[in-house]
Amino acid sequence: MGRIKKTFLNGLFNENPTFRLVLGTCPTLAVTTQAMNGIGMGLAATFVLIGSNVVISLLRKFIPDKVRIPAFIVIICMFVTVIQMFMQAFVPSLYSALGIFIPLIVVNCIILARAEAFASKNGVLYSAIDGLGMGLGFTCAITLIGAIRELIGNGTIFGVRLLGTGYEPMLIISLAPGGFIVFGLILGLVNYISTRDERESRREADTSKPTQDGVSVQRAESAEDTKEEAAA
Amino acid sequence: MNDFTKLLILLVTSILSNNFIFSRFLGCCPFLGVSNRVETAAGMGMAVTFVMGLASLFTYLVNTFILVPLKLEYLQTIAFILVIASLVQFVEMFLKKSSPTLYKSLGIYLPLITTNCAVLGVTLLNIEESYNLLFSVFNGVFGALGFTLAIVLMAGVRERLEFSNVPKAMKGFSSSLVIAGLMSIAFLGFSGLGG
Amino acid sequence: MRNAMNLAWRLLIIALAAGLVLGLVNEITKGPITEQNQKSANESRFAAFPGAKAFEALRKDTENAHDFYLALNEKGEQIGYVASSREYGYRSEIEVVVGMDLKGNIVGVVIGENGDFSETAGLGAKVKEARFAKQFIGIKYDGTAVDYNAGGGGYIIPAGSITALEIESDGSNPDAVSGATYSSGAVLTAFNNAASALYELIPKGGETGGQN
Repeated sequence: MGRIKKTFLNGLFNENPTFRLVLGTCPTLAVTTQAMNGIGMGLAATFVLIGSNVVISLLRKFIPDKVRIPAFIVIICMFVTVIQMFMQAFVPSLYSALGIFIPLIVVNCIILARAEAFASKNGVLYSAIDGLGMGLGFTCAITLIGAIRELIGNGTIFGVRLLGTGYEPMLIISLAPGGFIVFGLILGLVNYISTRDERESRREADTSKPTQDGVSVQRAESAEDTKEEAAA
Repeated sequence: MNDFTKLLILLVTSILSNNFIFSRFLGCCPFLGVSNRVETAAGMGMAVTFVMGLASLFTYLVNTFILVPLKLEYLQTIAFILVIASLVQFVEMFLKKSSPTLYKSLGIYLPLITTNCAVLGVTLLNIEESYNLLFSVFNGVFGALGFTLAIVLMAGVRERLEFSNVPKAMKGFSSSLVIAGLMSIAFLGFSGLGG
Repeated sequence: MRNAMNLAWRLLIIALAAGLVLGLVNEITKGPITEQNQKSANESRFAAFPGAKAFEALRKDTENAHDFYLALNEKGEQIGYVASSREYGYRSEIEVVVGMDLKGNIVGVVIGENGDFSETAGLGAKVKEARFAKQFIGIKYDGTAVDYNAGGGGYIIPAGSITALEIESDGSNPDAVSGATYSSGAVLTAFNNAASALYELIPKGGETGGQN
């Protein structure tokens, strides 16, 4: 049980694909003009991550080592196309908002990296949990960026107007440069908080010597704090 | 408008106003990952230009002569990524044998290109915009030139940045992203060029 | 050699299985996708011609405009025409569906309901807002191209004045969405393309309309 929880939280916080590993930057920058797009993109990627992790983990003995990358890509691509067709059929507005970035989930480094680093070495259950954790970590991260950009650039979050009509939207945040700048500043904030946290825990370690688990839980909390602070 | 004028406009828009990195967000991973030094950035740019031109050519052929007649358009993504992956493999082998010097300078970037979303992106965009063969290839090459310009400029800035006093938390990706944002603002100034 | 064969058939099996799954999913989603597209096209048509009860397809595509339909009232009488035109905006194509009665009055406009519409949220996407489209309604099209206020290309109006667009349309020129030059321009071009194509269809009492 402990390992399941650890695997799950690992993707969500310690190795958050967006903020800690800085993978999958293209969709992170491109679709985050609105919070809703972030959720859509994140969930689509989560579906693909879980699916590909499970299948790759199941087939890890069948796939020859030499051609594993093409094999992984075919499997990932299958899931991407499946979700693409379902989105086109049942949520056409989201499909058109995400546009070309749905098929581009295939080359999202997060998914191939998890297949290579985790699913091809671990059992089905853990691979699924890893996919879920990583996927949700990605979803939370890009929804957060989307919410911030939507709030500053348009005065709304999820289409709900939060800032009054007197608010003059900062259009630049909705445009391409805003994506880079907002993401860059959030990354800096995450770095700042996590290094501060590490310094603190080192100081504590001198006196109380917490276990490895203690450190990781603390880190997880700090990542949560970051989000709250950034959203505020 | 004749084809030549259209191509010229495509050149200007894909390098300046519709730059792959700064306005379309395609190829950001290598843009942030391999932009430490101008030399490596230029190498990556050249390799990407080469592969993107070829990929545009081959995916156009695969789409027009195989997928569309067989009504298998839904296999586009999977077919294109396989074309790109095998193309990269093939180019790597070919370069190794025929031109060891070129291989030496481009070789290490080639495996990274398969997962460069600019390459898959441009092939999908070609289909979406229903470009013909000529325009597909040029769209690929011009787009890659825009990518090269962006990554080389970025590397130039980052080389200088190494010697400056950046706040510790902002080192690395964080400051790179903010710089990219500022460059993107500069590139916004080109919007409107070439209609 | 045997090793290579082994690699090849394993890869082939994976690829075949993937293809099979995709074929299956395609079968499932094909219906809903076409249904979805038809539904949205139908809805656009009715929205572009509020008074119409039925439409009759006219096979009459021109270079810039397509999807020509004859609008009929409940008695089956002709009351006008609908056509659509597409133009590339900032990030995607924008489809404009225009409804015109037999006198050349614009009775309805539907902007950007196409499936591949993906203009920048908060900016170009504002052309989809009803109050933007409303400005085109009531214009009496006489063959000359409609332009935005302060025409001549300078149609960037101060930010925030999208709220000022609520002004009752008196048939004069519409306002562009501030800051979204590309999307507004594309809408205008598409609108003019569709309207000029429709204008050629409507009967004119002897006078020759200015061609566009």
